[in-house]
Amino acid sequence: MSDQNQQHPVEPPEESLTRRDFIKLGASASVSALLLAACGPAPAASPAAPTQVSGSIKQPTLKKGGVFKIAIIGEPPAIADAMFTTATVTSNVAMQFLEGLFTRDAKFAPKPVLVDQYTIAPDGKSYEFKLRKGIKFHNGKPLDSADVAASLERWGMLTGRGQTIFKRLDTIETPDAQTVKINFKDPTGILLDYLALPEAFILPAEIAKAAGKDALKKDQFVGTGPFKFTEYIADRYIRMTRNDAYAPRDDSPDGASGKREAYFDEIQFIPVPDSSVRANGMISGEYHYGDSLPPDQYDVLKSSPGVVTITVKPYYWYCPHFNKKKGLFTNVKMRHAVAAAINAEEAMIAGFGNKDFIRVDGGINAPETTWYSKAGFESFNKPDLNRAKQLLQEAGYKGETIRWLATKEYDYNYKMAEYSKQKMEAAGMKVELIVSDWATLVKNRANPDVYEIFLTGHASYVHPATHPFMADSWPGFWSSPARDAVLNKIIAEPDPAKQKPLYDELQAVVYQEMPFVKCGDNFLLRAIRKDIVNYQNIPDYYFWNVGFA
Amino acid sequence: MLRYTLRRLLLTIPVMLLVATAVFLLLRIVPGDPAGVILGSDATEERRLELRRQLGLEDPLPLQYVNWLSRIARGDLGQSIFLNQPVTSALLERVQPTLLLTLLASFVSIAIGLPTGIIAARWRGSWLDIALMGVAIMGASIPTFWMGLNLILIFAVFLGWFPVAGYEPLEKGLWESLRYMILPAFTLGLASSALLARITRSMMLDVLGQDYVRTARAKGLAERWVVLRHALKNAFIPILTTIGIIIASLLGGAVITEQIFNLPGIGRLLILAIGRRDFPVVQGTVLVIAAVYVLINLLIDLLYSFLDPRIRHA
Repeated sequence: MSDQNQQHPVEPPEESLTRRDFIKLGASASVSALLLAACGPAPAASPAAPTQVSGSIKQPTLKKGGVFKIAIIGEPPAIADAMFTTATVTSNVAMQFLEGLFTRDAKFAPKPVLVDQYTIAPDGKSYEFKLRKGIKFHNGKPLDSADVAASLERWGMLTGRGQTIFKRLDTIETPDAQTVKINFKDPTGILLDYLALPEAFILPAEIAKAAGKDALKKDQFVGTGPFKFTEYIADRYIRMTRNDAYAPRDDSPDGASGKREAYFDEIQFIPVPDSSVRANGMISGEYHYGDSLPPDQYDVLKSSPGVVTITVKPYYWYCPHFNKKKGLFTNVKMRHAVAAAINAEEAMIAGFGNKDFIRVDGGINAPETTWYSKAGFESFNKPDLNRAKQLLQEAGYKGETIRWLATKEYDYNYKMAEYSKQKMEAAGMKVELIVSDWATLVKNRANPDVYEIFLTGHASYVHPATHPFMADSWPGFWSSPARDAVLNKIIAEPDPAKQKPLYDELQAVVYQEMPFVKCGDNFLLRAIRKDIVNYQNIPDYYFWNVGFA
Repeated sequence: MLRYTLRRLLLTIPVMLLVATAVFLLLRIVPGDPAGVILGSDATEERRLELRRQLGLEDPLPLQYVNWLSRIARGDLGQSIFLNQPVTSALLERVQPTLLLTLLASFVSIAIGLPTGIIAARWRGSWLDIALMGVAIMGASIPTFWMGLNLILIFAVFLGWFPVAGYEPLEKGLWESLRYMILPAFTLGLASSALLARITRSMMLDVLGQDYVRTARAKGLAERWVVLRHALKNAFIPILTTIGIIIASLLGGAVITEQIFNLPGIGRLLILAIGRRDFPVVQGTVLVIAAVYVLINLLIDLLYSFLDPRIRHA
């Protein structure tokens, strides 16, 4: 996504299973549904899960009022239409004023927002949502089930995740204004995780239908959130003002879930593409919140009297991806040879420098999430040049040039590539770095004829099924029947307890097939001014329940 | 004079056509895809292709070119892919910061560069001349981004006199707007004042050695009037050219300064549009910048003939 842009060259959680992949997955989902049915009844229908008290809201110290300025990494593509684009910077903006049926709590689990009560049928094929009463859109229109149906239709047209859901969908029913029933052809346990993402927001039905596949226009940003979209000037700012008519939930805040109350009169998202300007602006007080700050300014920011630094943990993880469609790395031994040549810790230090912002860990999801697994760790970060040489010999490598797509636009990308090149050459490989700007790299990596390796990052706090490399068509082109079989079970399984071993199974496949070499996690540096209270440190930030002291 | 002006105006048409063709072709040679940029790097291949078709990017290149030219002929610069608004309105939104910056930076440049050059020439070889020209060489050698970052560090971060970056339009009040403009104007103005000072000194030296200057001095005219009225007026044509070039380059967008100070001007629009592969915006902006250059050059040529009757009568 574009940290557009901006912007960290990291991969937003995936969307990208192709139609063909999903026909395949759909077929195996049916099989697993049959298996599930044969094994006994699915978990009983559950009411809306109670939320947890985060215990960190200090209500008495908050004051209403003030303008809160947020320096973001660049102009969000499609302004705030997180259905239209996969850019994180866009979904961060969208989240402040557009709401979905669900959101995520501090542990990234789905929790209701616009939904009051919900039930899941025992076979995992039917969901019934009762909407909360008294919710109004920013244009004054009351929320009803037709709005939900129309918005979900648009989500199903535009996003990869929506398409995944809609391929399994049978019907969406709206028996009354407060009730939405979603019926699937196959068990679809992943629905709530997907609905909890900022892209699955609810618009008034007429707007959702009018926009269709086009990006929303300025006057179409009508949501239900605690802030409302007020003004947008490209490359200057996006202004939102407090929605005084907002009807908050009663449950305690927990991550983005629970009670939401806007304190600021106005929040402004200001695109500031230069990270050192964002940092200077934090120190001078020009901005109240700075996203994605340069880690080399960590000490300066920390010692600035008006600034509190925030280390966002978990955030992203980084890895070189192999081209598995054509050339040398169709051979799994070659992939293991590169893994044996690279020392993950050294690669992360080379890329990110500051040890406070890295973690050497092999999980494709962070330890802070429920999806974390240690499966396959026996193959993680075991640098051994002799073994690398032996694997190269077994693979029949004859000194062919390995073309590695790199960019200097993102410092870490080139530095990690440069480090890996040295290590791979020490093992006997011939590596050529092809350096270009990020937009060119993104275009080139989609062409299997022009490279062997490229490096990028992935969110470590999203559902494992949503990682982009889980789709055959995503650059690197990892096609794996073993992976598809596990993925399919994960998508179908409605019982979280039964999902856990499936995550282990999925990660084990990753380490067997080594489609990429996981190096480690990187944490993001953000900062907030000291006079702001109640900010919760989560990757997808929000500014309700936050205010001036 | 009118015929001369008309002929010069007509000559701009092939120049603009050449610029339009070059920018169109160059953009198509550079890899990268606007649909990919706007959808994020993880959009599905189907979505990317669908959007490309919707934007007309899948049309054959000659067709895209002809469509674009015919739109320009109608005065329509097209629709920005990334900003989802007409290119003309995107440009108009960014004219004010760029104009304001140009005006202030030119003022700084002229206010510092012109007197410095005159003083250095008048007292040629003195310690003052050496000191001023030393400073001017330093000023011309310092990269704009380094100068900008230092000004930010000193005057915005340490002293807190000015904002670090950003922009407030004039509608928010003159001082509120100027506060944001002073540091960028000095960043740009100081660099170009060094160039202007050196040109002014050199031109003044040429003129101060002429016979008519000696005559003016001999007839007892005050030195001040010799320098300002006789010498400067005759040295002014190349100085004016330099000022014209400075203004044209500033109007064309002070890319680095606008980027460092987060000023939403023409230069920043262009650089962002290139990164976003927003073809219509890049094409439209380059075309407008080229037109500005051509027109300012024309204006300067006309001013020459106004300042120097010999050119007019030639």
